[in-house]
Amino acid sequence: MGMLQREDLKASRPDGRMPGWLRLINGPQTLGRGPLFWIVFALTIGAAVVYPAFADAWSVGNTAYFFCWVFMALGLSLIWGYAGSLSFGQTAFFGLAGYTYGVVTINFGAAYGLTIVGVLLGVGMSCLGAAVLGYILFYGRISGVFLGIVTLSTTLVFATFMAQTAGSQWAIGDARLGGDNGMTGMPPLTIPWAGGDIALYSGVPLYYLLLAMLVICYLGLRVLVNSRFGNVLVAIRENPHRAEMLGYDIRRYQLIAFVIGSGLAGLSGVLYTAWGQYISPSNMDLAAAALPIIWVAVGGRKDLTATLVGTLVVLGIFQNLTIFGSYYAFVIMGLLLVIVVVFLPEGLIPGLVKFFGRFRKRKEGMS
Amino acid sequence: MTILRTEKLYKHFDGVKVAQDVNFSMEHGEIRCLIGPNGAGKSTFFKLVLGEHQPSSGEIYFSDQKITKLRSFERVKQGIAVKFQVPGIFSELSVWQNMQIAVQNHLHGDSMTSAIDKALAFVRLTDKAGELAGELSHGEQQWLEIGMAVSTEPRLLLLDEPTAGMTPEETARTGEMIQELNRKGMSILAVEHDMEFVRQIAHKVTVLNFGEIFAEGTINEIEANEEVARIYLGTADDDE
Repeated sequence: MGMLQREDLKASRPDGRMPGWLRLINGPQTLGRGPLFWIVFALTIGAAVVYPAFADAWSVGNTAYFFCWVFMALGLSLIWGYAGSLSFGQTAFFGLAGYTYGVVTINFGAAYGLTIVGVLLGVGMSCLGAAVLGYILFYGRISGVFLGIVTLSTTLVFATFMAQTAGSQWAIGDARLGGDNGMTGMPPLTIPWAGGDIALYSGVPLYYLLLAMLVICYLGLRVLVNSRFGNVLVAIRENPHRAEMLGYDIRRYQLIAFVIGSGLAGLSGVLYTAWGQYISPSNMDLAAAALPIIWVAVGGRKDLTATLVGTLVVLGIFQNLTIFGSYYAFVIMGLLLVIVVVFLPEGLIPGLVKFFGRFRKRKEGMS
Repeated sequence: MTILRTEKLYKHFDGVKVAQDVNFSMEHGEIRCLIGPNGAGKSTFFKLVLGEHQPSSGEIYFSDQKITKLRSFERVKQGIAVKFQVPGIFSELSVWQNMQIAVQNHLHGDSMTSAIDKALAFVRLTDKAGELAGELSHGEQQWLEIGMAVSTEPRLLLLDEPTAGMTPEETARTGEMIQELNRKGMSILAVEHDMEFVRQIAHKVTVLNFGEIFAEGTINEIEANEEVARIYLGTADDDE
């Protein structure tokens, strides 16, 4: 626990000798800032890079599947953990982006990098949807539990709407929305290349692409939450009234965080759709909408590293539980959420950091 | 030159009048204390000035500029700062981070760092820069909030019961801080119940009662006013 010690929570003045970008990546809004943390981080990345050489194809594809979801969790950490706005809307933006990718790529194909255009349009649509919904929410002064209710309702309305689009009249060009059965037939992510396009089916190349994207996203978000913008988000979470009385238009900051976080959910949506070449309303329904909340709450919503690690661990547990029956898995996930909320409301990882910090302090006091 | 002025300010809540024909004016560089029995409308008046309530009618001017329609954060940007009765700090962040959030809206780089250092020294919290704000004593939390408010170098500082819950020593030190800020040119409007403290800092006192300005003058004039003594000892409704 030395790399995530209690002192990490007590940020004092920044070290003036440190370059700006390093100060941001190592800032007080993120646990894990010492050399030891970065050594472990580098070793973890190294292990992830060599993993496909030792694992079978199914495990590599399955890990890539896990990576798809982490962007959505990191986005929720930004919206809920850092900015304090509980959103159940992540899967709506996940679905919106996934369907957009499907519509674009089914209609225009995978040549000339059009799947990348599909990714960009999918993420763009989720950002646009989040901007519209977020504007209504934040500029309408909807907050707290009502924010959760409205975002959940929006998600369920969208999922229900998509579930009734089974008829042939529900098509956009050649792309059938497919109702409850979902949309299929979209091509995988395809990278244009001189010697011929590279289609990234669930395999090693897709794994590496997702790993690289995940590292970039994680480090980028670390910079964001430790920037002036991140400081204001945390201030809004802690005391919105005070933040406003320091001259910040808190609605604008909340809206920007919501759009970025929802855009990341959209990124998860397009990557998942490209990975499995399938998207359906069940990816957005009540159970699906609750899962990101559980991943983020269990790991520790107020920290990106805790969210990332927590999400991967909970996804692994959840997948293994589904072997015994998906409904049991949901029940156990619910229980896990209740236990964490009651006993470690900040999540497992920050809770453990605090516990070991207190233990270490007591030990130092005794000696 | 007036720093704050209100004209025929009214505020009604479902027919209940909480501010009535308030024509208030204070000069630049003044320390004004706002007193009155519970339910007199002091907090409502503060909220009207801060933009947390919109007046039913009337106008508010800050340095002769109309701010009635401005939102709270826009008023703060104009040069108004506030310290709340219950310390409005970010408990889970360090003292330094609290100050940084207050200052980063106005300053960058080295000038931000030196402004934070200056404000921390002023409120005697330099040694506590790395502590979590929520772990400070009540008095220190009050000072931290004052530090956050003044680090933005406002022209008008609003203080809502700045000494609530403080020990006599902390109260005296807070009074010194307010006078020091005023000497540097900051105008201060404070809601306060502690008449000893009012005597220590106020240039002028305004008495509110039932949402109206009841009396105004120096502390000696107010203390000599029998009507003021009567409303304080009377049976005014408690609604604040």
